Amino acid sequence: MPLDRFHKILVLPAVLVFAPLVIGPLILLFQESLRPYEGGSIGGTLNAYLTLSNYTEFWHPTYAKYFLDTFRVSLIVTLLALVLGYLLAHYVVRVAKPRIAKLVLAGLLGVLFISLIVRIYAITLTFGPIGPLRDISWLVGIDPRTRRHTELMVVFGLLHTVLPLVTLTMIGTIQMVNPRLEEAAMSLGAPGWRAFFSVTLPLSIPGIVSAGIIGYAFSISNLVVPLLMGRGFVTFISNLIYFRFSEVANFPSGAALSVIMLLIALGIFFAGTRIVSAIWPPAERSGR
Amino acid sequence: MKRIEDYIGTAIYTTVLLFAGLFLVMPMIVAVVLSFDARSFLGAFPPTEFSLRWYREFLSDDYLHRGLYTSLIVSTIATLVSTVLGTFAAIAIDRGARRWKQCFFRRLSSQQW
Repeated sequence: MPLDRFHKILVLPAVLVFAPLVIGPLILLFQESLRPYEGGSIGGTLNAYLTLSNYTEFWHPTYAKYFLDTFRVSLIVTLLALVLGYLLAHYVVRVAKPRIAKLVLAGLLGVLFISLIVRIYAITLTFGPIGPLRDISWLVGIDPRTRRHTELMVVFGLLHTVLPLVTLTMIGTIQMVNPRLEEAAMSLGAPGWRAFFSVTLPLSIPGIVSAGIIGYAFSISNLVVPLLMGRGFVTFISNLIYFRFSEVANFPSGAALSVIMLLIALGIFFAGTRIVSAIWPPAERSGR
Repeated sequence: MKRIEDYIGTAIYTTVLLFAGLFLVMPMIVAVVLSFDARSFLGAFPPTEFSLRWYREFLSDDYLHRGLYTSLIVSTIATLVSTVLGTFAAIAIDRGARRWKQCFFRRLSSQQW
């Protein structure tokens, strides 16, 4: 059913404000990414033949490391956030008393209210090389004096935002799973953990996937955390884009990287939602 | 009747929850405590001396006030505009088009958060 007239008018203001802000710059970015670049100048050469060389330059194996780092670290962050977040959300919805649940919710939202910069320095001072909790890294077998510890710090930095985001998203998911189904499993003799793993968890998979997409999108697009906590040891694609635009003024190259990242992000997003609707068609999701 | 598996499950559950909570809360505590630090540099966690010097500095620096003012103005305008436009668009998408609801919008936004 297409939008009727009244609803079209309601959407219009959002489209009018949003479209120029998003689509306009995207077109300019794409145009810039096709311009040839001459060393020493600021931005691409105008009035020259358009070229794809800004894209082909990233086929070089040097760049594989940055792409791999971005996707690998983000994947670790997302998986950690999903496990911890699911348990936190489960605790808030099913276990905690209303007052404590409210407190946890307020805390999760409160964390998101604090500027990421503030949290980055707070995390560095807590888990960093001089922090009181630096020895926590031994738990995962990482020496706090090595480079791998830097990567752990980036994971922590990203996790501190992704975890609340993912938890808040999944609270809605778990609320929609009928608790009686789990009770029924337990009354038929299943131990608590079995009821959880074979009833509640499978029913909330669509929500887990969308929470994962949100967390992954936040991680791979983050600039500040790898910049301030990675300190050059862990470099994300967003950092490369930032350097291209701010340090060397090679706008076409930065624009090409941005377009590549945009396509990859869109691909992940659509693949993720496709998978959900293919395996769990909306009509068959009994738990929702 | 509680089984041994249930006890193990509860123990793992509680430990993981405690870790997650500690991870989220500890940096905040450290940041707040360090804001009362008397040292002139960003030092290791338990501060050796406490003072209100950083708060005094913030209250007396006009440059920082202007930054705070700018932040508040910009975020208030952005919040107001996006809340109003977003509400209209959300109503239209939810009530107006059933097909859109099946689309990915629904999956990301039907959550309560």
